[in-house]
Amino acid sequence: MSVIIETGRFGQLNVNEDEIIQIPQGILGFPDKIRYCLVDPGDETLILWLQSLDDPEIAFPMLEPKIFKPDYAARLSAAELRELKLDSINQSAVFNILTIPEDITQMTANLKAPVVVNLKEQLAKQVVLQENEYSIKYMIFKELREHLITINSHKKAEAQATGKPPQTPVSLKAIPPSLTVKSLQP
Amino acid sequence: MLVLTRKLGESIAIDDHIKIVVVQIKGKQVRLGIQAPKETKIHREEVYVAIKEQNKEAVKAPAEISHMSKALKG
Repeated sequence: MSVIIETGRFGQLNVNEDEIIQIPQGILGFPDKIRYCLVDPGDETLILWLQSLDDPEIAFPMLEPKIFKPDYAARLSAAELRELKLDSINQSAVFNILTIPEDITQMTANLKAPVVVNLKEQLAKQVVLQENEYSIKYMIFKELREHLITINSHKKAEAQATGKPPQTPVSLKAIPPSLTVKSLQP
Repeated sequence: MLVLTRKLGESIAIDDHIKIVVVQIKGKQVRLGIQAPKETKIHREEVYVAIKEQNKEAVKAPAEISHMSKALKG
């Protein structure tokens, strides 16, 4: 069973069962939107979009923190780990929601409330971390740009004969688990 | 909502492990002390409000994203 949805941002998406992510509590401020998928728009910015399947106009740009803040760690409580059915932290991935204004040099990431995804159970939650030093508006343009320039200089050796990649939902199996999730328990 | 009246220095217990004490009362401000297991998450309500606002900003990202990849990679 797959879902076909006409999204505001990416046009028609054909989302397979194994690409659907359930967020039972919703994203904060969007409590009744609970089914999502991840979309790679193929723009090679590493930014993935958390596209709502309940509202085609809602999509959150997200980035893995290891790209712009390698020392980032999301510490989850036992209750949060239970809620995410996470018995092993290496079946999860962490993303920070981005705010991208017209002037994209001012783009920020929300470090305080990451989206943690259980890749195996296709289950996610926006978690509010206890760390006070994690900002809701952390500037990332410079770091992201430097990261992309590094990647692209590596890529230049390879010929890129293929055309523009299509906008597609991302299979959760294609995402490597990240080690940025930690349990609060000793 | 359960409403309880407490005096300075008095406390309430939630479950077996959480204790909230009225530490100081000054005009319109109340200072609360919270004793809870390490893994209990405690936030000011404003944190949630700010995150909700930020999420609402996040979905307003410009529709045209191709210029973004140019600016990022150029």
